Amino acid sequence: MNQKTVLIIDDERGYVEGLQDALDYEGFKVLSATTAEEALRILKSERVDLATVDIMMPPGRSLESQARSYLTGVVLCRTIKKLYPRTHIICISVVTDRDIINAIQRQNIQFFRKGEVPLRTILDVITTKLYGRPFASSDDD
Amino acid sequence: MSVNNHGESSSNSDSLDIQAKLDKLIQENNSLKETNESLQGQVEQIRKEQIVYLQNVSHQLVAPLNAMKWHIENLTAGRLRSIERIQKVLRSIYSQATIAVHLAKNFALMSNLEADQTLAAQREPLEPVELQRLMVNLADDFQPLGWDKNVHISVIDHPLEEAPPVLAIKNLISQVFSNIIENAVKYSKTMTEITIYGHYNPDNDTVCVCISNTGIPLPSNEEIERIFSRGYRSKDAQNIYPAGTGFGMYIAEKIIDIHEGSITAYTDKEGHSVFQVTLSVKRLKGKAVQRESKDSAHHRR
Repeated sequence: MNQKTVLIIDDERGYVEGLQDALDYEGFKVLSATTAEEALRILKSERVDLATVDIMMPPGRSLESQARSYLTGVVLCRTIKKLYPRTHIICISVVTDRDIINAIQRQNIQFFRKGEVPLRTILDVITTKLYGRPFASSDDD
Repeated sequence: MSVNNHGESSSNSDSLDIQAKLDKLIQENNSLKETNESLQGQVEQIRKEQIVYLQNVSHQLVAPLNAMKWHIENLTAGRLRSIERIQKVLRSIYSQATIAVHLAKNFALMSNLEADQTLAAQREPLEPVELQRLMVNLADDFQPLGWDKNVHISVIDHPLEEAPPVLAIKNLISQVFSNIIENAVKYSKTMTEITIYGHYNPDNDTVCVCISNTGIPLPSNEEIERIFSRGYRSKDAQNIYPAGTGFGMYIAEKIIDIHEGSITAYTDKEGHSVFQVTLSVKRLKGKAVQRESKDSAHHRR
């Protein structure tokens, strides 16, 4: 089975570690970035099959002028779609602002609210996107 | 005729009066309209600020709780392969719980401050608080958070351990130092040291505690007081942690005010950011006697 690479883009370390443990266990190669700038640097050098993107996070020094921090994820999703159209994206954030969520969904990106979604659901979604079927177990992959 | 003329003139004068009054009313009406529009603008602005504030609160509280949930899901689903990893995850859960409790306390305090700047309802009785012991406990509490960034928190015992206790509302004073230490961890560079030290000043019967860290620089001298303003966050702080509320130092200053102490921030010669809190010992009768014997014991050593 060819190993797929997932990039977790989020500045909340506790959250990143939880998702990383679960993806590690399921056999994914996992990378992480805490700023949009760092994420774009990784995307430039690594083939990433799927990126999970937070909304409110630091843009990073070189992108400060382009994105306000509470909307960084929206701008980043747009940029990834444009530069790396083969990379799947899902968005996981606590934002409740309908305008922001609409802006994400208009880009055909699934939005999940942090704290409301079990890890198992996220694993199912990622596996379906990358292998075309829902998560069964790591032994079957 | 003259009556008639007088009547006409009176009628003209009346209608001029009415016109003038009408003009004045129209002016006042326009002015009220402008005021109304301006107030509506302000209400809209406040509404937007509240949305951003609630989003920040929600983000900050949900993030550690969610992290804990996911860690626990990994533990119960058997996704962690080694004892070391399990221990690390348990430490992380502890850190996240520390953050969540700390934040919840801050938001509760903030709501109380909004209603009553003197925090009258929050006031528990004053009690002697040994600041050195409090610092050691808080350092232990926040150290797991520090390990995430390889930041070590150390309390330099001497001469703070010899300081007499200060009379304070322990719960509130503890929140002041929690806020400062949590900020120090958040904004420290990786692989640096947070140092907590202090001393007793017999000249004015106060105990001074300093928390020093190496990280994003404090604002310039002209702006430094803004750190204690409600909602202030420096641009660097916003870039590192977008979801902060800028309440920590505001709450700290209010609590220190209640204790008639002082809190200041400065950059020392080595470039460390230092937060200094000074609290009065306020030797009250009875309690002072108790402490005198303790002081004597310290002096004898």
